[in-house]
Amino acid sequence: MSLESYLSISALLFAMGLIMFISRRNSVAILMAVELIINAAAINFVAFSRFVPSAEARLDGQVFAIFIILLAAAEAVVALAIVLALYKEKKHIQADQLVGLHG
Amino acid sequence: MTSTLPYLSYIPAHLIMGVAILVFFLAKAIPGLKNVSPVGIFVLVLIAGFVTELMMGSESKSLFFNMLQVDSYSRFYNQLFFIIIGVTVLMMKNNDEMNRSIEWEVFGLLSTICLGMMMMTSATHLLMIVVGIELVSLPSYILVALNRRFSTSKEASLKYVLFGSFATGIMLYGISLLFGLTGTLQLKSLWPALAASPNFGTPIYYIAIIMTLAGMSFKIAAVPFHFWCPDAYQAAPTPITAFLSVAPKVAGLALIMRFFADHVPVQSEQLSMIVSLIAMITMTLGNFAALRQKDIKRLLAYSSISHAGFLLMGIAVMNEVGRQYVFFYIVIYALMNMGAFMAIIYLSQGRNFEIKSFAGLIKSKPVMVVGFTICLFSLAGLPPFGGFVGKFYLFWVVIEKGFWALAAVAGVNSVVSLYYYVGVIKTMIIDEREGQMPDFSTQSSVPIGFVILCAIPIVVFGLYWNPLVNLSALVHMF
Repeated sequence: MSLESYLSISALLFAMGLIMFISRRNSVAILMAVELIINAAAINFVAFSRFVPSAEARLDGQVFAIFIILLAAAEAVVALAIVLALYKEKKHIQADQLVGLHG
Repeated sequence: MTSTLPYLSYIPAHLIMGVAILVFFLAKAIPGLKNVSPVGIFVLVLIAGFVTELMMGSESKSLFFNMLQVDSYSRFYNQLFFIIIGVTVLMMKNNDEMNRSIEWEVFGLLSTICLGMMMMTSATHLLMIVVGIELVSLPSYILVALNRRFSTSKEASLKYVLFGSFATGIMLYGISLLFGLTGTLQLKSLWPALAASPNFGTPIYYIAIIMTLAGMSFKIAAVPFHFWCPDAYQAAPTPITAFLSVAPKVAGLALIMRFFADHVPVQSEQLSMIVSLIAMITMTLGNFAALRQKDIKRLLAYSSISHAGFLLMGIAVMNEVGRQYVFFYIVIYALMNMGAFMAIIYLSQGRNFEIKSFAGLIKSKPVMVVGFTICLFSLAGLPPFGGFVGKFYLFWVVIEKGFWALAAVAGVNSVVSLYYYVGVIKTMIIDEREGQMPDFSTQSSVPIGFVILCAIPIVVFGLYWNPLVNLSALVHMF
């Protein structure tokens, strides 16, 4: 497979994540959209470090991808904890019905 | 095999914070720590961090294969963070919006944020930038949700975490594009490689830079990543609001300056244009949205958005002088914002944050209201207060570079901002109060002393600012 096919997959994932982030109402679905965007970046990193290796830093991209996976996990933990706490209070997690704050 | 261990002696404050994180999160499992006051330990940690950073001098050193750079720039900003966190602890002592039983964990989260901010000020590698931003972001999502009075704080926290992780995702994608364009992640070799790249000046180059800026502008609450800011500030416990409105914002600005520090190989006009465009939109939107706010914390949230715009003026010029005056204004901004929030904590007693409820308070607490008024006038940028001098220098560097449009927009915004600050002052001093005066007899008088301590330097720096100019001249990168 060429670099272009990897990049188009990641661009597709990114676009899907973006559309999902804007259109979905459920908080957990929005989180999944963010995961799609983050994973698109990870695919980019791995593909770039495989096809365009730089002389002095051959593994930078792959190491960055591992960091991205850890980071996505940490973010999901915090976000889901907050979603749980919210669910205990409100009995729903619809983002468009959270209108307690405005002005 | 080169060892990285000797590098550790250059980052003593980071090590202290790292140990502090472990101690605070494991505290309930360590026998004998139960009877110790967490506040005492935390204040000791902050003092130790501050003193070690102070004693490191002005030596500049690149650590861990050019991943971190410690220099007088990072040290001055780090000292500022220790002071701001110390003030936040003082605010928490005078406020009961947070549950006292979770103090250990709260201090653990604050230590984590502090470590992240110290990484943000010295990161010279895109991976370190991401790690630093996330170390600051993740604990602040939790801190926002800890208000036990205000049931919407979890809702605000959810909005914060969704927007925050979205901004991080965009930034990661931008960084991956930068990596693809250049094959390097180090800022030092990034800009020369960008200038040499065949894609230099094409849309993908701008997309990559703007997407990378997205995550950083989320931390300083710049448009278009400011949506979380008013909600999170209104619903968070007030000490945390004060902390978030200063410390992570300062760290984000320091990070953006570090990111653009080596931009010389690429032509800087387009980069300046991008940053000044963000600055103009940010300050205009923040100011005009602040005009119709009824809640004082929300008002200060929008005011802090517009101040991020003003501070971006100093970054848009992209030179050493601009960076020094950004530091100059940040010191004054920290003074006046912390003073204003301490006054809010005292006057609202952690219950009612509507501006209406502050009516006529000059009669019962004149000293506090005068201190608060000085902070607000300074935020508006009126002479003879420190805020005026800070804004004056930022205008000066921008005009010297010839960015007339930016200076004009900022000038109009300064005038507009006067309106809503004066509105608050009018409510407190001129308006008559309907109904009973609140009872302040149970409150300690420490906040009054603190606000006076903030107001005095604001007035002094407004009249005699040379010492602070000399201090900011010491803030050197590399």
